[in-house]
Amino acid sequence: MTDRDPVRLVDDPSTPDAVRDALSAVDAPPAYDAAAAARAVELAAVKAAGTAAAVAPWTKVALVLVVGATAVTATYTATRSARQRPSVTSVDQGRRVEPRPSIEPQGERSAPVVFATSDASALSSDASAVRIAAASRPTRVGPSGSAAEERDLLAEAQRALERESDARRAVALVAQHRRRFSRSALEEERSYLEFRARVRLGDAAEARRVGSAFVARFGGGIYGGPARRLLETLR
Amino acid sequence: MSQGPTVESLLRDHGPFVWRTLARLGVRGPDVEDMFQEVFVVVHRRLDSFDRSARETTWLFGICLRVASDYRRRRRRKPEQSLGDDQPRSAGISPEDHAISSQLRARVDAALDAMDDDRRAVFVLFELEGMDCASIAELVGAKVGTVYSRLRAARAEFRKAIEDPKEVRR
Repeated sequence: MTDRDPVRLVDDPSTPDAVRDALSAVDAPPAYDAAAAARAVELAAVKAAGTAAAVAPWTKVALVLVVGATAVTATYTATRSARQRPSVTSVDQGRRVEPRPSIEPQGERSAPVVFATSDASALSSDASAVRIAAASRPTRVGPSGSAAEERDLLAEAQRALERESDARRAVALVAQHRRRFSRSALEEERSYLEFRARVRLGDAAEARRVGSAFVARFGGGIYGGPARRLLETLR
Repeated sequence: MSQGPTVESLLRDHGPFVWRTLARLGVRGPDVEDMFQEVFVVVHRRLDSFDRSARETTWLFGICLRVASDYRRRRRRKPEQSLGDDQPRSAGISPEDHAISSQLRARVDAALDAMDDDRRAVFVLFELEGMDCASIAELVGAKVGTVYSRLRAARAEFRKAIEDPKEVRR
């Protein structure tokens, strides 16, 4: 108490009885429950991470599809302009040179095959960049139906964890997703979801194993920070 | 170089402080755990941007203040969802005394709920927690003079609310 501080109302004789009685009736705060606090922090980690996870995967899928569509469009445009462009003759060598399309033409009737990348930095409206990125990330998402299935199955796992609080089912759905889409563009989201589900299941050893593997592989990604903190709560 | 706080260190060093602060800021007993979780959801999300030159308790107190404020707003909107309104009657206390005590607590709650968050915090920390104004200033991140003026205003509001409860129910 510093010199300029007033006297507390309960200690001040001039305080009206009604005010003093009211302040005296206030209960002491509930005792600190360390176990409940630790449980709350663990759930908070899952919840904090879940918000990011609820947005990112589907944003990424949409981005992949948009970029994929851009790639197909670019391919089509390049092919078409190549066809329309007149032949030119090289003056130096005196031979006719057919202009080459910047991207190899695809069959007009074939279903568009879109390669996806989960590396946002590799995404570009330049079709070549997309194809290069695709080559290094071999996930095959198209035709479009399978991309939707891939997304929907993971969404179902996420719903099981977050809305139904059914971590066991979430783990099972993640396993099913992994079997069906072994090389998924959503591997990062899938692994993170599995980690969160393992934490919820309460198997600390397995959760630590899955979490450590996730951090080792995707620690620099958008879930890296939340995953490390979630891992901390398991130590 | 300091590593800065982790979630684990904040829980270890300040868990009881957060728990008690939430309760003092109007979170009812059974709801404290849920709001404690809300505080740490924010901690998880914002820890990376925590300014290491700031006091951890000041940062946590600011989060508690917002979480408790949202909680009270929700409770006002949906009073039926409020938990912990009925305090169990202690052994040896007559039903009449228990009823009087409950009424008094309800009046205190109404008086505190009518205050703005900053005044309420200063009032609670000074009058109920017994903290001195310099410590409160550090905790809430304000000047001591500001704490004095908030306390003065809060006291006037509290007195008026207790002595004339109808004024509070606007």
